[in-house]
Amino acid sequence: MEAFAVTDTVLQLVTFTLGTEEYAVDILRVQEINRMTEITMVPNAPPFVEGVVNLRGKVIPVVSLRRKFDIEDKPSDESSRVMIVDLQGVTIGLIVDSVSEVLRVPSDIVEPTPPMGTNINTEFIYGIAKLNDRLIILLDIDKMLERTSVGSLF
Amino acid sequence: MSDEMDEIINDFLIETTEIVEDLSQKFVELENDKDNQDLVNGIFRSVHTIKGASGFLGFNQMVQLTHITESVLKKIKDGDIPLTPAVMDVILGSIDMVKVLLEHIKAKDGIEEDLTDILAMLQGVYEQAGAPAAAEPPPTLQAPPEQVVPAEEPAPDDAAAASSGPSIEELDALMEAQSNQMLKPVGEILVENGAVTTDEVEDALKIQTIIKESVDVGEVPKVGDILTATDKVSKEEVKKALTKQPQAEKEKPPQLEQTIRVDVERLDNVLNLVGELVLARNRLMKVVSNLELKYTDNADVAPLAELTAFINLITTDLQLAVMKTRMQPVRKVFNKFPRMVRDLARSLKKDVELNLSGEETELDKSIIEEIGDPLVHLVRNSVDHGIEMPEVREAEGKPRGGTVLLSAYQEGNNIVLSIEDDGKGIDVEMLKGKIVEKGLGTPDELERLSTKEILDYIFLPGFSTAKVVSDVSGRGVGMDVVKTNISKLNGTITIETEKGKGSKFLLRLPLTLAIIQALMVGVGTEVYAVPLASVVETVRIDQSNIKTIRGQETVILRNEIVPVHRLANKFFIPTASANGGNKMYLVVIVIGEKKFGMMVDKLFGQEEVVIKSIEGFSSSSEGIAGATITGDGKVVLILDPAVMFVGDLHN
Repeated sequence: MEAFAVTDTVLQLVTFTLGTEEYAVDILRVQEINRMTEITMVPNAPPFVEGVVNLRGKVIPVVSLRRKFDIEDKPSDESSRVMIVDLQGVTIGLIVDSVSEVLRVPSDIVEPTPPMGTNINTEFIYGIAKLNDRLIILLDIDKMLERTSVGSLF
Repeated sequence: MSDEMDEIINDFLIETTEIVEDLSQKFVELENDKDNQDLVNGIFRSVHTIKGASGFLGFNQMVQLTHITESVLKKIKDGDIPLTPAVMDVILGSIDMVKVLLEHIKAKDGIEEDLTDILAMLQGVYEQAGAPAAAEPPPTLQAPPEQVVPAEEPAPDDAAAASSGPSIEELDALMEAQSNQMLKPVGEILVENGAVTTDEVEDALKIQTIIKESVDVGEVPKVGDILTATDKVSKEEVKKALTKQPQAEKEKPPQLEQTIRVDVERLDNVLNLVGELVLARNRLMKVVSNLELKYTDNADVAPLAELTAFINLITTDLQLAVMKTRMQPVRKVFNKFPRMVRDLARSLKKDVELNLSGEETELDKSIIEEIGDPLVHLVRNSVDHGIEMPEVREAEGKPRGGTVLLSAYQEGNNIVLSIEDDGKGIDVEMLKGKIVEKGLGTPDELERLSTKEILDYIFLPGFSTAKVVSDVSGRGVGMDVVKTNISKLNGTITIETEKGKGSKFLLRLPLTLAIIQALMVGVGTEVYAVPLASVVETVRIDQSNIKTIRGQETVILRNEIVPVHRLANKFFIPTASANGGNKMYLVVIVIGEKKFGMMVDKLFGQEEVVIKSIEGFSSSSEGIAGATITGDGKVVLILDPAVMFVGDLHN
């Protein structure tokens, strides 16, 4: 699946925040958005894996995007959400600070990632959308978590 | 190859595999019941079906093979060839070759097997029938042209030459009955698909009748072929229609069950949803019982409670019903044994009868898939080591023929599979000698063990009591593998034996793999489930009980030194039991021959849990076997002690 589907030169995005930054993923990749639930820790999993949750009988992993992007941890609050996305056939949850809105933006306002200097990893950024005075970071979630040789994500 | 064609071939593979499995069973039955005409006809029809379908799909080797097999069967049916074990070997050999060919088709490797030997053997059997075949030339080895080449205008000569072999009245009648059954629907299906009109089909049928009348002996072109030849319909349409035929045909014999194929994934999905329903019901019941206490006077509460009770009942039934959809009769596994025992007995020159009982007992699909290999091993052992040579048996006053009884029955929450033989049994004294000889124990030690404990030595790796190594068994690999495989299924295996009378192997298996008994343990604030199958006991210990041996913590349990591993350390959970602390619990676990203790803070007791895999995680990473969802919707991880401390155990 493409990271972003362009229909009639329009992108449909779900935007969310992490700290002060605004991010977006393609709406087709988002299955649902849930409030925080109780997360069961998984021992010896990578640090950005917060644990597993019960999604209507399915046990799915939940990833803290803050930790994945090296943003300082913050305890979850009322506005925290778990975004359930489909990642190469695996359903996983992404913890975000808040989910803002669904946006339709013309695809030509998306610019390729500008060079950031050496210590910032830009490989899972699909592009930056400039919308009035907002800068929205379009995430390529497939690049964010790659499958290991045994087909698992973690 | 197009997807459509792939689909057709796939259907063919499924059908044919089923037929072949069934055939092996029928042949062995036939050998014991030689005059059963129904059986012969059934076999004949099955082989013919394979031939027809493979011809249509262009699998020429398969056609060659089944064609001549069919001819031989015809002779057997007519009584021209006596059904001797030797003949049976050849026929079974050809069925085996069909299986090999099927594998090639499945793998799409395009490899052609060398059929010369088996064809020659079949030909030999065929010709052995002798002279009466003056009017019948031997069957040609080439494929009959019926479906391979779309017969445009079949020249009578060709048809006669190609199919002259087995076609005499009786066979014709049989084929007729079948082709009527098969041909009519093609037209019908084509009409249904809108590919042709009823009139066109009728025209084709007329042409067919004319050809049938003008050609005395031989194959009549199929309606589909006529329709394509006269450009009424494309070949693809006919193929599509033909693929629908096997199903249509299947519904006819009344003895077949009415079934549909469903993707297991879909069933699992239903099972999952039902699991969720169960959780929701549990919560609902809790809420309702609270309401009942709070509003005893309210008139609406009583009906609500009643309704909840009803939903409770339905949910429980629904859960059971869905579980049942995954159950399959053990017949699926048992079916291959008559053939295997027959071949084995013949190669060992023994006389063995296999009796099956309880084939209808049902087990979860995943267990059915796993249980085959261990069973094969045990049955082989019984025939090879258990049953004596006929002369020996006679000398001991037993009947010449030995009996192996393979049975299945339910015992509480378990299914028991038993393999029982009336052979020589296991000589416990000899076994003791062997144990001492291999240095696995001293005579003194063995004196103190019960017979059962001594028999358990059989399951140690590399242990074999057979004096002579045969191709069948005796190399000492196997019993340990059997034991490991059974343990993986959360099952147990026990042996009962009496010298001179026979042995009995009992496999106890859970009804389903999806549900296991687990011990819920707590470390800090975390809760984990430990499969109860590997737990032997739980002991309360204090720090003062722990002694270290070169850094490794151990406790002494009834004079046995048991290494201790702290779960809190393994999982980096900050809690009292991570280092020191009193009032801890030791869960004593046995994996294979290794015993160790796992230290936890709390024990919550035993629970039945449903195993679920965790998406995205590799199956056995870091000692997690999966997860389960508790009554309140929380996720609890299931530990895999075998993997978890494997590194520690090696040290």
